[in-house]
Amino acid sequence: MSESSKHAELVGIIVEYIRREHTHTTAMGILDDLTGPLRAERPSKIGGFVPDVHAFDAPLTTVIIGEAKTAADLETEHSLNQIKAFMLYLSHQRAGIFILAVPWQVKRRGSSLIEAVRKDIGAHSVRTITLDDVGC
Amino acid sequence: MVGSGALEFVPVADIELDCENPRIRKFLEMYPEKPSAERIFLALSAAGGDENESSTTFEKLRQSILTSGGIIHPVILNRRADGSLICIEGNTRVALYQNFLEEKVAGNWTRIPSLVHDQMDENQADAIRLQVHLVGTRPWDPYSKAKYLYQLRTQARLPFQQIVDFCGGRQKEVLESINAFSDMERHYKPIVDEGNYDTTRFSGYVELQKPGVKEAIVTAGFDLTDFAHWIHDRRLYPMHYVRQLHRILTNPKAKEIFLKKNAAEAMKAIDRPDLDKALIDATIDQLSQALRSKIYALPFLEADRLRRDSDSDLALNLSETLTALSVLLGSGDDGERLS
Repeated sequence: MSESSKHAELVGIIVEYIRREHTHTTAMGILDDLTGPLRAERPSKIGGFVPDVHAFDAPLTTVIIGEAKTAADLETEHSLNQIKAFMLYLSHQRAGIFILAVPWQVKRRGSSLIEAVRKDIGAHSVRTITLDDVGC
Repeated sequence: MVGSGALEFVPVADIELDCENPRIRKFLEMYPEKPSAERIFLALSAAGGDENESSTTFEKLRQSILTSGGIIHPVILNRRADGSLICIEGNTRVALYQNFLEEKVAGNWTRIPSLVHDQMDENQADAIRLQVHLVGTRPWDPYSKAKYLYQLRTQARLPFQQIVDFCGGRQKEVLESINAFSDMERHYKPIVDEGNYDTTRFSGYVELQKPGVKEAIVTAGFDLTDFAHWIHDRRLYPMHYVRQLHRILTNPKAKEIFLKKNAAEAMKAIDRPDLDKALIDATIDQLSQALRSKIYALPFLEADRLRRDSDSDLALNLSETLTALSVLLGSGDDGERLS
């Protein structure tokens, strides 16, 4: 499977997770950056980066940012800056949740990475979730 | 004098779309032969009040009808002497019903609620078109719209997604609207005396919902009560300066001026690119022509990127320019005037 197909699959996993775990209770709006029809709504830039998934309720209570990373791009500087920007944004929300979706082989590394970023920037209020492509 | 017509549920298959409809005439005039229903449908989907918004409006209407399971306002038809029916008002809605039927979209699209007039003459048809499209209904102001959406969400407990579908499917617009109303009620209302609650400040709260604005306020050590004071004191005026808050609050000099005076003065302290003499000496007419040429020559991909990235410096500058132009030409918001 190509990197881009893998990435799309992981984004799909995040969207499904949010639908399953949150849509029934809060009826959230979900925007994703997967290739959609022309003029389809896509997530806005946050801290200079466009997240793969942005979900929210109105009035704003829960905000979820989802980011999918393949094994190859999980630990790049770009990814690190992206995750920091998203965590910082979420730390200003009433209930911020950050979801990272990665291939199962790097799930532990992914969890450690987001936990380290969370501590580093002091985003203690942000809940983090790591999903993988096997057991979710 | 135009009568009100009789309410009937008319089979959509019996309705002829009006190819003289001013909305689509410009598209259909390109073809000498009588346009097919399919071509009229294409013209309706392409046409709109505004070139950029046309498709969105068509799509919004489509989504809204699908969500509601039908239309709320009946279309207006004219029954000719031979008994045939032509649509005077509501061509897009009839075309959508016909399209839903053809594509076997789930729902009842066979008959459409219609106000049927008998043998209306052309003057009467024109009177209806003029009243509907040139006079129109009085639209709600943005604050009233937001208040209604907020009540639907918090009191009627309508799911967010359902509200979005009813409104035509633009999630960000609905989200910004509801959150802006919520923030204004929570932070602005308590600091103003009764009777001084100025709903024209609502646009400032819509700007507050743009990504990065709240973070800029909090990161600089302020909160949304401070923001409410800035709005109330007109320190942030015109309201589009809200989008510049991150630039103002991260620049020590600009921040100081902003807190002492206002955003307009603070922006003068923020470095701007050096403009060469030719640009400075150019007239507004020359600059506007040059800007138009640049815009028309912009490659599609670049324009598309700009549309998607509404937070870029270029998008912000263009938005600021647009506001200034609207005010200059007298088509800006009531609350926004050049000072």
